[in-house]
Amino acid sequence: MSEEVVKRILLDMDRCIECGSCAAACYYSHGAMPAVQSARQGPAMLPVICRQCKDAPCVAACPVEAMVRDDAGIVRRNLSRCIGCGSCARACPFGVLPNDVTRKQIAKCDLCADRTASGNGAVPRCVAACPVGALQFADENEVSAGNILILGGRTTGKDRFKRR
Amino acid sequence: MASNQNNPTCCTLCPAMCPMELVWKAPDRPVVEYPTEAGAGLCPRGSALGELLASPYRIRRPVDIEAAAELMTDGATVLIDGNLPLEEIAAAAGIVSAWGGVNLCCVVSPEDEQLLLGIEATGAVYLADDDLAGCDGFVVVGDVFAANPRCARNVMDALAKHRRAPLVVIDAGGSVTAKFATRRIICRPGDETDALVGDDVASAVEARKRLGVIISAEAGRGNIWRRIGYQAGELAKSHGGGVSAQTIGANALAAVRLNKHLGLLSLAKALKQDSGVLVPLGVDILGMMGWADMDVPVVAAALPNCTTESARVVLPVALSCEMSGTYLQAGTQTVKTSALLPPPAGVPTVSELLRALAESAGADVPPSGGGLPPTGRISIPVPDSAEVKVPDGKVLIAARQAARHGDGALTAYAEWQKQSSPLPEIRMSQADAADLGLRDLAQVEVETESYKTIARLRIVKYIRPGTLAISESYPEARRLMPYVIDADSDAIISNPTTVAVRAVEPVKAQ
Repeated sequence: MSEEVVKRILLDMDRCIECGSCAAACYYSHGAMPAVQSARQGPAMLPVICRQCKDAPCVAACPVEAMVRDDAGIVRRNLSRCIGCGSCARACPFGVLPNDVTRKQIAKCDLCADRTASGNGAVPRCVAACPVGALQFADENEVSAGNILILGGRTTGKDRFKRR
Repeated sequence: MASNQNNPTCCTLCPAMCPMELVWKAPDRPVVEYPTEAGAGLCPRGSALGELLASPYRIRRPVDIEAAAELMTDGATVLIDGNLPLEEIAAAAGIVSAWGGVNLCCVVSPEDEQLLLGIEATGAVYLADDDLAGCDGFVVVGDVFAANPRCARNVMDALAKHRRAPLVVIDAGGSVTAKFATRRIICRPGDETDALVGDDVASAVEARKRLGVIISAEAGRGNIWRRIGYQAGELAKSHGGGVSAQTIGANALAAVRLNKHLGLLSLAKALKQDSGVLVPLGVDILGMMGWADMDVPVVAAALPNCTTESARVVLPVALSCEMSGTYLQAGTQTVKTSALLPPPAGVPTVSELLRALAESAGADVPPSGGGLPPTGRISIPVPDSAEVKVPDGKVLIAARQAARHGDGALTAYAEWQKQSSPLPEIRMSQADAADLGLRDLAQVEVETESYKTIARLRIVKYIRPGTLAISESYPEARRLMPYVIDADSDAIISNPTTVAVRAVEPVKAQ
């Protein structure tokens, strides 16, 4: 079993125009259980997506082993096991797991494994749908050494979310 | 420069024309699938198309041609959506020309129509989305990033390439685009014309060799858009650049040109016609105009809307994405697209429906030639200067929204849109919110002289105190500031209007 995923979904905050394309793509392709949430960050409403933690508190918190890490290292939710108790949602330190009180089930980002597992360069749907290129599906180390740093030049001062 | 391109399937809801394909998740559930790799993009409007094609709300009732034709015996003015493939519009024009007593109008959003006429008057070059990446500076009017999210990518790529490139945003509506500006001109509604030729813009773009002027025409600014289009074209020409109009629908420019080339009626003239009945085919004319009291006896629509609610005969018709054909993308190239899906059984396209109506009325309609109509640039006189009367106190204008399309008739049935933004958003400054005793994200009642509705308050930074902007893609928002026909200019305009906003208790779920 892999310890953690190699590629993650990363957001370039300087590029996000808050259009909601990522959330809509997730909603329409995941049976109306979108894993892309939005959060107020200063003047902007930006998407927040599961970070696929190396030491995932949601996996530890799940009482029925519905939240598991699969062979590819992706933290996934087994819908047939999920009892909608909300333990994972409360355990998540980033608040990206929505607790759907109506369905009693938790939506969880699986990095669109049905597309990305084939290894043909496919990216998760939210990344593919992003019209601005704000979302990237990339190795964190590569990105920090590359283009994010350059684009990050537009983020100024002490306020991480302030735009130029 | 015109060129040709084949694009198997793409979204035609805005000039970006993003590639897309349809897959079947279940026998009755088509969903949009995205290109494998990142880069193409598809906004929420495009993503909703898959669901809308199989919507349980689709109008599929039997096509009662006889009943409809009987109501049209004393003459009619047929309105068709300007965002149809060119072949469909040409076929409709051919049918109407053989059918005495019937006129045709190709409907484009009133602001878009005026804007495009203004640009046509200058002879300026049109820029496609990809051309924007080659610009070395931008002047933007309105919320272009909401109108066409994909153009933001090219703008940002250009800004990353030219580190000193200016992005000057002229905006009255507290737009998302203004957040990204290097120079913001937050003006009063209607002052966009002065700002565009003002010293601030001139000094910011002084050294630019290839300037991109991008415009999203929004309602509630009076009759400024033709003048804005003209000024934008002149500004772009003087800096070796071009203009990009972020219209509602990919074929708006073609529709404006075809109205002239084929001698079709303007929307203002069509709505003023005294003879015969008004027959909208695939156009929610009442929703778009914000009108409630107009007699529209016959209407065709894919999904129920404000117009179908009051019509006596409602006919089914195909969605534009269910028709294959040619689009004039951004005035620069013709793009052939395939239908996402054929229309449901028994649901006709606009030209098929019009032909059936004409034949039922006894017209001798020749077979459609199938050729492309002329879409060359049209000759338009230089527009007069525009002046907008802004009432005292707090005034309401409209603003574009990325999640919903056009007048909202189409995306009103999309589930994500319904869940994520069930209410129109009304933007105001912190000062206005404090003045009214309102909190961010509060539910508020918005009232103008003509209508009253509920909206969600959003406090934004880049809007002048005294100006409030509401999402235009909701029929109820449009009724707050209904359009009027300006007899002098043959334009349809929506003026800024006095507004009152007050808090309401949110409706609790039972």
